[in-house]
Amino acid sequence: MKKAKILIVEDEAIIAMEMENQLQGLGYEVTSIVDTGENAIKKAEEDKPDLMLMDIRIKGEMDGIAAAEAIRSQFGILVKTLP
Amino acid sequence: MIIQKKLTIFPVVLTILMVVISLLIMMLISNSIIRKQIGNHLWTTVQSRGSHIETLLNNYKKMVVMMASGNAYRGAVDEKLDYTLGQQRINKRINNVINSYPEIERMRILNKKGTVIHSSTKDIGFDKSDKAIFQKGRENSYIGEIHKSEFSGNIVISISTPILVRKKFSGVLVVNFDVERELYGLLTDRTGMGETGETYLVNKDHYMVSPSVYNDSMFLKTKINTKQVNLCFSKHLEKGLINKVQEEAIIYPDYRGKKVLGIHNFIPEMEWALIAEFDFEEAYRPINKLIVLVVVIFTVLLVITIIISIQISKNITMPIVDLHQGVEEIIKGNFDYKVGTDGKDEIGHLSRVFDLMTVRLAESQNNIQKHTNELENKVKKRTNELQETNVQLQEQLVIEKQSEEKLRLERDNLNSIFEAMEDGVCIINQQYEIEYVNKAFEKSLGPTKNRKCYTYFHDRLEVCLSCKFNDIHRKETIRRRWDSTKNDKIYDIIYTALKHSDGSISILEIFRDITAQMQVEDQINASLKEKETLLHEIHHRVKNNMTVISSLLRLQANSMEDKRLKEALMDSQNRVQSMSIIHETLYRSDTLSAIDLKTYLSELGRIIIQNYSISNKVQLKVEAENIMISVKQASPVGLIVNELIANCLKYAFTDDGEGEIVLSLKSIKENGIELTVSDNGVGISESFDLKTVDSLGLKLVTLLAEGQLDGSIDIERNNGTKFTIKFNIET
Repeated sequence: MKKAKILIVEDEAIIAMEMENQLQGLGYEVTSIVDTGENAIKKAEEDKPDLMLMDIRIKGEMDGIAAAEAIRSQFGILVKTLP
Repeated sequence: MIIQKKLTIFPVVLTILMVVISLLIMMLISNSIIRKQIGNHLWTTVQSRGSHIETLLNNYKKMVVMMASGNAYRGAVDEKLDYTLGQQRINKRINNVINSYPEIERMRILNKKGTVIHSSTKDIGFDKSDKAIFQKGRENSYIGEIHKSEFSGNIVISISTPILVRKKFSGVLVVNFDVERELYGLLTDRTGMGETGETYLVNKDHYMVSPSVYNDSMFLKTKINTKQVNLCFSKHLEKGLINKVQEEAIIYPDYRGKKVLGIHNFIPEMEWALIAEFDFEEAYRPINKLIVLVVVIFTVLLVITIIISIQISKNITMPIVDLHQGVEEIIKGNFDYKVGTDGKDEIGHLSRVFDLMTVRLAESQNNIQKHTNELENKVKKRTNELQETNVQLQEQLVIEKQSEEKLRLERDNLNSIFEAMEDGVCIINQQYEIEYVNKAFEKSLGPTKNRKCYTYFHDRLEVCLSCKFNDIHRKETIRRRWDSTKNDKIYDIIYTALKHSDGSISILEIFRDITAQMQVEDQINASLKEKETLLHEIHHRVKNNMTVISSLLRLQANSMEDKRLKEALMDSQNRVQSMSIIHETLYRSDTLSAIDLKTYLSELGRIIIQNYSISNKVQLKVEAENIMISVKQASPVGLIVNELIANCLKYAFTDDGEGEIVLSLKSIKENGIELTVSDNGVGISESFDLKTVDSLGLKLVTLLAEGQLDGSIDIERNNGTKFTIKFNIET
């Protein structure tokens, strides 16, 4: 069975690492970890993940919500925002 | 007395009136009769005398014509005959004629040139050619005017006629007749002329040509212009009337100036007016006599009437006078006086009825006196009462005046308070008119000039809907904020109803300028908002940092091989996480100072179960009330719950056993909270004691519950284990 691909958008590196650890422990594939909305869009297009976990407060011009909206409408990828 | 006078005077006046009227009528009738009779008589006189005069003059004329046709007179003027012979014959003839006709006073013969050729007097040779007797006489027989003879001084009338010789005019015969002999006799005849009656002739020149009874010098000297003469000549000479219709006698003053009754007759041949007159006095003498007689008779009648009427009135009024006296006596109060008589007429009856009335009157008088006395007493009593009331009223008036003064002072004070207030005050009556504003109001919002409130405040023409539909005059105080468009200020207005004595209600409005206050408030709110944002940020930061710590601990734990170390790190990670959830819950909620325990503990419980349970067979049931708690207390409560649930998960259930943990939270008493964590697991050993427990987790629970929350902790062992913690919310 193919592993589900997850892309993590989190500017707090340790938290991102812990999440990656946990997700891998649960049997998922973490494709990338990015810390800005712009990179998230870029990586979403490249990686084409099954799910994106998106922190709302992130670095860069865009916040999580705006990035999630853009990705949902552009690529139809499921994005879960994290408070 | 008045009745008596009336009864006396009335018949007398009536009698006098009748006498006067009768006299007037009688005078009118007899006047007319007399005038008619005398008029008739005078008319007959002038008619007969006039015809006599005409006849006489005609006779004279005939006589002269006859004489002129005689040979003697013709011969006298015949030029062919011998003059001397003729003269003797004619003289003889003339003398014969004068001697045989006494009325002929003088005779003359004029030749055809008008010169006197024969005369009975000594005027032969006189030229008469320019005289009327020749001028008229040569044509036809002519009767001249009556005149005084130059020779004899007699009053005569000349008649002349032409003498024809062989049918040729040859001379004129002139005969003078003495009028005093026959003509005047006709006029001065007094038959039927009474004492004053007279008839006389007036020629066309208005001269009297006959003798006057009263005045000898009238003849041919004074002109007569009486009404009668004028009437006669105007009728017959000027208008040429000749008819002999009977004239009416008229009354006028005659040539003497005396009042006469007269009539005229015109003699056309001579153009004479024949006047007949009677003195008015004589004509009416019979009437005067009659009037005197009638007056005497009526006077006697009047006297008799007076005497009789006095007597009758006395007879009628005497009983009335008696009755009157009686009544006067009764008026004086003498009710015993009797006026009754034996008279059988109406007055007698009246007098007896009057006596009866007097008796009744006396009775009613007594009654009236009685009533009057009672009434007087009542009036006295009432007057006293009224005086007392008056005194009371006076006192009351003084009190009222005092209270009025007090009221006035209070009102003035109130006014002063209003004027001294810094807040604007205005009073609006029920008709929405601004009745009063204080100084502060005027200064702040400007003068009101008795305008309607809706016009003044809101520039409206009608009552504002808020006032129209919500009775602004209801009796309660309300408070409203008003953003004035008049001066861009903000007012806090307090509306209070003022009740008046007449039942109407005014609205007292107090305007407090809160513009500055509102500005400060806005600043504070902005600052607060800023701080809240900051606090959210901090909580987020704290939560993030704690999550980082928690992640580090989990990463560390995952990298450990030793199960005990791994567990210790996991416990620590859970403890950090339980605190981090507080901050997460806080920044997600609206309130930053307090946290809802139900939301917090539910989330915490879910995370702990997720972290510990591997098989997912243990269920957590949360039965909690919504209780707000401070962050300071939320932290130990979170740690206690974390330890207790972790404890349950670690020890209460066997590895693959199913179970249920119940977390309950309810408020008890005033500020108390009861928190229980119970399980249906294997149960704790009987020897377990919180005081001596070796586990760090349960040590922490006791420490936090008793030390930090100042609460209590109890364990129950009944079908599992139940921890109960009670503590008070810090306020």
